[in-house]
Amino acid sequence: MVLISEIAIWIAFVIASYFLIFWLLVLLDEDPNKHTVKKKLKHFPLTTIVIPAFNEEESIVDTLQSVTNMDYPKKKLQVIVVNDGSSDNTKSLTEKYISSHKDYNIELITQENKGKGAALNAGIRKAKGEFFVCLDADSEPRKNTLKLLLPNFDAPDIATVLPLMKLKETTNFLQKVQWSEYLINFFYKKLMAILDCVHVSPGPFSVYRTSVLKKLKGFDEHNLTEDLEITLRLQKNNYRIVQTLDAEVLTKAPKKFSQFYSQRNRWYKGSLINMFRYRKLMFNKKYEEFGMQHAPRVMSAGILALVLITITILDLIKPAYKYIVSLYHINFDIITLIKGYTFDISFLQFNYTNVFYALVIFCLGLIIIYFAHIYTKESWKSRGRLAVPAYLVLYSILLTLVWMGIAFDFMRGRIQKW
Amino acid sequence: MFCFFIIGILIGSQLTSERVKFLQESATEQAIDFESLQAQYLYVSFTNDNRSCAAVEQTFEANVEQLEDTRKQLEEFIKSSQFNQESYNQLKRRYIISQVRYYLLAKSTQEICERDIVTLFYFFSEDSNCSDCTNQGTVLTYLKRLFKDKLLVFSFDGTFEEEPFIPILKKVYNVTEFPTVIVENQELHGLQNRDTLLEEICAHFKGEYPECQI
Repeated sequence: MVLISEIAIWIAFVIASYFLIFWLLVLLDEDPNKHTVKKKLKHFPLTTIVIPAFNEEESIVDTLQSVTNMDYPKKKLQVIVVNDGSSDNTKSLTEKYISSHKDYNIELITQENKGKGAALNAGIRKAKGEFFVCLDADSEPRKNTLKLLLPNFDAPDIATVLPLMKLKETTNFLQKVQWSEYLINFFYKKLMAILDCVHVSPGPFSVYRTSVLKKLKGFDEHNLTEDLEITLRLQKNNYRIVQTLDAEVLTKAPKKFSQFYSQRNRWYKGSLINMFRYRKLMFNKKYEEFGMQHAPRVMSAGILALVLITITILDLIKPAYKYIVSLYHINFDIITLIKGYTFDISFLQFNYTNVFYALVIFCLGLIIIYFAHIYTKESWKSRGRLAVPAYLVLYSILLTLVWMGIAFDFMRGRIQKW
Repeated sequence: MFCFFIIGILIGSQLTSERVKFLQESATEQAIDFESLQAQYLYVSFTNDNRSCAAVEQTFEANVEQLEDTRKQLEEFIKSSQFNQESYNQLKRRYIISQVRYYLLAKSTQEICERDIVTLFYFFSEDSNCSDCTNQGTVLTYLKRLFKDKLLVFSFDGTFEEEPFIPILKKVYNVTEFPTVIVENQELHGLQNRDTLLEEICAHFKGEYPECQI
């Protein structure tokens, strides 16, 4: 057990330090503005924006407002709201919005609850635009987002262009942690885009070529993470995905831990399941960096996380169980046992090799966080001085809890859950 | 990245040297403590004046406790170090010899100072197969904290045959399995719970103590 745990920690260190250094080298070798197209749109192509909505009465109006407020010709926008069997006022609020914005081409499709993938496919079937935008009903693009994204389709093999996702509000600690996480994630995706290795196009305002989506027969309707699945399918078909850092979209992050947990449980579980489904991409030279580096890393990181968490759980449970058993042999007379206890700690007890490796990873992580703030043009103090320290301290704990849940779900065969 | 690994390995190696150095210093100090204690008992025995016994006994107890702490530390270091196992083994031998010396000293001075003490040998195995050793360790720690200086516990890693004393002790006390506890020459094989050991220990005391009534 100790050996397995040591090996898992070493593998984790090798993978983590290898990729952190590799990414930093990519970053140093890359002009940050190279992938940011500065030229303006010469013409405005017809663009379809599909908003799948399930019980979104609290945010649907704001989302629609952000779309109609966009700096883009009204006639060149087709907006489709797919009411996916909502039981709240989503439908009536949308209808009201449509009737008060008759100058916009906004349609409402109402269907039984079939899931996000099916809702998006319903939008694809009606889409007339050259480009297809998937917009989560809790997200809001900025005025210039679409105008900044579309010029990036400057090669026929570019199938998707992704905006930078930022959080709309950060009212509590959990959201502040996620704010830092989002910045770092999108900086990481920028690096991945340089290497053509993006493996997920998230729901808030990812722009696709409609023809490509239709050619690939749309989204998988039975997938935990349909956005990740379509991206892997695009990679499999040798399409390119561009991540921008100047076009922004605002989204909402879970406020409560229970919401955060179920969201992340679905994301990471979906990531593992889809990576396994597309395992043929792994170590496949045909898919270059994505096949040789990125897919194996995502898969191995997921498996390693599961192994490390399982080991940690067992490492905690086993000694605790053993200790309780040994207390049984002294008839649970804990008072006598504690009475003579002396707290004696020596600095030589600690394993400084592992401490050193952990420090290396921590420092490399700090450098990445620093660059993430520079590239996303955010000050580390913009969401309060505690946002970054809270991220550093809390994020790993939160993720550990999520991965513990995933490990537990896999153990009891609970694999697919929305 | 290669540099990080090299630095990590160097840190590990340096840590081992520091630990060995620390244990060697402790061993030297403990050897001097033992000589001092031996001299103290010799003095008591020579003058035939047992008025100093209480003070000497206190020193004895403190020394044995310190020796046990060092042993535990040594076992921990051995578990977590990949380097310099040879130095650790030498230290472990030294520790075993010291345990035997203290045991002999305790026995030889028991009569001079009229000490009502019980000595206990505990043979364990660091092997992961000995799941009962952890439980036995807790029971003995408990009893030590209960009886304090009235009970002297000497622990021996029964699998460490690099030190010739171990096979001798194992043969004398017929140790064939772990854990084995010897209470004043009474062999108790396998895991012994609190009540069994309490009864056995109390049977060897000359006086009556409240600890035996629980």
